Amino acid sequence: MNWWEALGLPVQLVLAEEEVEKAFQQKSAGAHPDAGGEQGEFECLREAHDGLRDDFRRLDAWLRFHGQEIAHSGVITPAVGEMFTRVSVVTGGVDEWLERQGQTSSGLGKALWQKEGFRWKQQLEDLLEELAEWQQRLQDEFTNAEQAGVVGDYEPALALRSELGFLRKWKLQLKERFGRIWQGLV
Amino acid sequence: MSDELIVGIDLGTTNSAIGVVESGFPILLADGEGSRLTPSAVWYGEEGQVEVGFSARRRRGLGGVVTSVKRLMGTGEKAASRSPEEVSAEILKTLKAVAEARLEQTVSRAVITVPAYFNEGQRGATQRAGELAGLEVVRLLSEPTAAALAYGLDKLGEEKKVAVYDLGGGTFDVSILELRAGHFEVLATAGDTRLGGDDFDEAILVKVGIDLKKLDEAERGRALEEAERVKFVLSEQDEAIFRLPFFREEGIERTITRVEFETEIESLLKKTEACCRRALADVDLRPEEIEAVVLAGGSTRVPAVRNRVERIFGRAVEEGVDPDETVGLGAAIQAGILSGAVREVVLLDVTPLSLGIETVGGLMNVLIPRNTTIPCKAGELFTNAVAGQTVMKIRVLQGERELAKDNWELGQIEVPFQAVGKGQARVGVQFSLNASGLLEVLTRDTATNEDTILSIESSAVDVADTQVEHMVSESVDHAFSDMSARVFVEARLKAEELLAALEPALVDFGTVLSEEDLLKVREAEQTVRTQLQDEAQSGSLLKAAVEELDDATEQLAALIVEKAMVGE
Repeated sequence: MNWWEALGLPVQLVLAEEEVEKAFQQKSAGAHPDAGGEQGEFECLREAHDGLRDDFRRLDAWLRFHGQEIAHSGVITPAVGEMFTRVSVVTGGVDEWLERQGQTSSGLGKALWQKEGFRWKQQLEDLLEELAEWQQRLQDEFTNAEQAGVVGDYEPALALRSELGFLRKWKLQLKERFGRIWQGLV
Repeated sequence: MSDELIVGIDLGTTNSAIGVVESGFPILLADGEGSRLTPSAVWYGEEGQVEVGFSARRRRGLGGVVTSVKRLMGTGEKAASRSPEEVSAEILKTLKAVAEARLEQTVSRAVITVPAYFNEGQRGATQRAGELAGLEVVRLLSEPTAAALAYGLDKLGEEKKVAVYDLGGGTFDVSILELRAGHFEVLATAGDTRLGGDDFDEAILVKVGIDLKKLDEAERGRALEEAERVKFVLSEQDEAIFRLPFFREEGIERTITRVEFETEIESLLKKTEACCRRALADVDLRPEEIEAVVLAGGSTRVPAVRNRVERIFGRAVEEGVDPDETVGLGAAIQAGILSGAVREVVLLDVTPLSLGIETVGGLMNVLIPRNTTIPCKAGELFTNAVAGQTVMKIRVLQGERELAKDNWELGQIEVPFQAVGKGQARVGVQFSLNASGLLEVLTRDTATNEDTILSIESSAVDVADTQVEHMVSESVDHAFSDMSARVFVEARLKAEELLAALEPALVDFGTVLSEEDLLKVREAEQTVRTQLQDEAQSGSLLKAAVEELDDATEQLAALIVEKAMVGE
């Protein structure tokens, strides 16, 4: 399915969330089964909406639309390598902390662990913030990548895709911990 | 869409209600006694009689009465030797009769609410209960979403983000929604299907030293009733007297303060807070970005609950919503949307739990992640792992854990195909989740285009948490033939943990404690050390000493937590 076509938009890489939202609302009025829509119609529109709102998936679909082969291996930049390590240190640390906190049964024992817990929570927040800034920088490069694509150079877009892929995975991992760490905090 | 009447039903743990939309407004229908709430209690007499509601609840403790059956939905456990579906169907039949009497017409279609966090098995059981009661269940609606509908129906022009905190008799849900131009869109939901007001009642019993497991049915009924009464009083007053005359010979009479009650339920409130934080994290929102907080469920009348909610979201909760009626009203609105009686409103709900299948290495491969808008479809192509394989087994899973075995298994499909070389067979798996959150799985062998459909019949595969807990505690029971030895080992672990924590805590905070408190801590510590050394190794004495020390260090623990929170 061509997501852009489904929502009545031209195929474009640079696409603001609000534009997707507006197109979805226009198209989906009356498409929901509860509002008398046909079976499957709403699901398709929703899939297009979710896909286009996600930077990574939009970039991926745009590359495929232009017939680009996506390689699943390649060279990673030093910045990616460094962040890879930092993310695994924090996720591993949080997992370990949660496990130990779960085994502690006395009030005093739990209290003593709180300090470390809040430290991990802070680290999660800082790292998530850093990733968000990184993601913003990559988004800002979408315009250039799209222009390069017009003249047949898809390298910048392919490089962006690989970095965004990592960012997305880390964000999920960190957010999962951020959601869970509250179980151990007061 | 049809203009035929559809009713909305709140099938609650403690109370149930039925409603419809009349002239554009949702209303709840009152029963013969004039009550809009019907207790979810069913009494089965020895001669086959069945009574539902107030009359059944009044018989609690006399045998044959089932309450809180919702907690058993989808578990395969029985109540009064009947399935939870059958018992729930009795409640639904009664509500149906109430509506038919009031509306003077036959009622055959309904929207029934379920906790947002109900899994496939629990939803399926609710649907079957409706069918047993002679109702076509046109939609299962999440309770917090229903509450949001009731809250937002007169605010269709507004655009805001709303959190619904729904703590009922037996279940807890939190949902984050966005209201915009008649669209009610659920962004995220989290919860616990085994946490509610019933646990508050049990907390009161723990405080007065009653062990529910040791009581017979009549005693349980009396004890729970009194605990519930005390809970209600404590919502209004600072203390209440728990009184059970002639109970186990001597009777019980004990004053419980609100502070004691709040300490006892603290861990439960903490669990709900963790859910709220997770839901917010799922949608990347900070608590201050929520513009309205709506309460639902009778347990939100407890002041400590309300305070906690206001603290989590940093704002006052919305007033003017009756937490007992709001879910039923929301169900009526959704029924109105489906029948065409309410227009310009569309509800977009999400699936609370991820759905996927097991892949190589026993891992869960998620096809539909949690918080995906429903209805939705998702599919993937799979291939054979070995040459000459003729069948592929697909296990359908629901849950958030990485390992397949830690999630609920909803069912299995075996897809046969022609033997070919490794990686050459192609089997497509498609999940489709309808607007009620019910799943259908379709598999297709792409070589032959042959389809297999799995409909989820979950009651048999779902093992209740309580059952698992029971199994675990049983195996522990057997391992320690001598109870005292077991108690001693457990207490020793806790003692060691406490003693290790004590020294560093006293170094940092010892000076803050009053001399009297410090002395108390030291004395308690000494008693623990003495009991640890004692040759008799008495489990009960060590346990008592450890509890004493745990209590004595409570203030110390609070100080440490306070300091940790401000990041010092």
